[in-house]
Amino acid sequence: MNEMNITSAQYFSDVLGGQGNIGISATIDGIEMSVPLDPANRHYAEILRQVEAGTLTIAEAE
Amino acid sequence: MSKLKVTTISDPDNDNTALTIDSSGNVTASQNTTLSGDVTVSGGFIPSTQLSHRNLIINGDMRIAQRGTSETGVTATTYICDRWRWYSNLADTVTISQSTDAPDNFAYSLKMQVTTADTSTTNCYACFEQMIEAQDLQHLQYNSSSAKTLTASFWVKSSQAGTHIVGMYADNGSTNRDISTTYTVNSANTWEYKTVSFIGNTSEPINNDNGRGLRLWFIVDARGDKASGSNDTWGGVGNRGAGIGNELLDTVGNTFQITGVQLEVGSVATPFEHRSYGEELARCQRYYWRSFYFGSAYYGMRYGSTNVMVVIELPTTMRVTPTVSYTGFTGSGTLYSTYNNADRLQIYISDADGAAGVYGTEADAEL
Repeated sequence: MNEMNITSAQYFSDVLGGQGNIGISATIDGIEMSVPLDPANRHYAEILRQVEAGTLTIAEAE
Repeated sequence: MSKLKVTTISDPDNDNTALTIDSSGNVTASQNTTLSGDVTVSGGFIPSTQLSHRNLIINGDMRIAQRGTSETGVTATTYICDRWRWYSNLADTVTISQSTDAPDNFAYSLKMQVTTADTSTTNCYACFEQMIEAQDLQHLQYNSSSAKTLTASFWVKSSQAGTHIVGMYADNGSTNRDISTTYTVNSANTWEYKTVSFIGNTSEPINNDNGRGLRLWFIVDARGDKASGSNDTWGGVGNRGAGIGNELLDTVGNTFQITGVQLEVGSVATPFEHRSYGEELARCQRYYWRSFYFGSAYYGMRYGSTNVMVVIELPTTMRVTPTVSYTGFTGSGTLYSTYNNADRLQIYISDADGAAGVYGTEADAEL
């Protein structure tokens, strides 16, 4: 059983400074969240775990 | 007037040395000492363990509940009282709440009530747990022969009398280890005070970082390989529910409550360390922050022709850059981008209509 129900995930980029992806916009347990790209953040760690398990794909930034 | 000159005082039955007096008059009490009157110390007072900040647990009295006071229909994990996570990988459903039913000297407890039972799932467990940041545990000297014993004390009220489990889990990312021990609930639906001790882990370290160090958990249900292993020794992940006498999630209506949770260095439990609301809230906000006026908007300043930037300075530096969520934006505002870090949220909103704000901001940096 997954600790979090993640139904969507998409990178968002640095629209001001052009530094590429700076976070993930994800829907977790029904709530839209801005998740930082920090492995010490529990939501990002769980996203990476589910991607590794093949149950989640992170969409590219628009 | 008479004078008694002795160097040693022993008990009359077993001749255990109680007091020794050296040639300078220094007195050493070798056994436990009880003083029933007031104690005045005119010289320095040098304890072997710290007098304040003994409790490694945050919000042990369950008074802080920023997210709300109750959640129904919980199927896996949730936080109600700050820092305390409910976790279950059974097929149960429970209600988790901050209850005002508490023993003397406490105002709140953390409560679980089963609303959908699970009698069939195997190799699973459920618990209330609190994870402690690794860098706050370096004084335990784990991975050395000096690894310190920890003692947990708590009030518990369970709908089922019998053998229950409390344990710890060490997460260092490579060699995670469990230790558990049993305690007995003597009477159902009655507040009881319990103390247990855990030996230090001499073989595995706790990382010196802002990640997970130890977690203290109260196992309310453990089955199959999660109820195997041995108690009172550090071992693999099977060592978390051995000897459990109740599977609380197997019956609708079962309840489990805790409060006054303290985890401290040493083998003796001291009285619960009551802290002020403000101090406890600040500690909790390192891991989770929710705007106090949750329904009111934070407004920002215009950035460019159609964008607004809202800056929220967090009251406490959070453990890591938090995950941030909002309940909405004023007017026709939509989220444009965010630039957050551990002490500040910067939220960019697209809004051609003018001033824009953000409602219901939450920042989560839990372990």
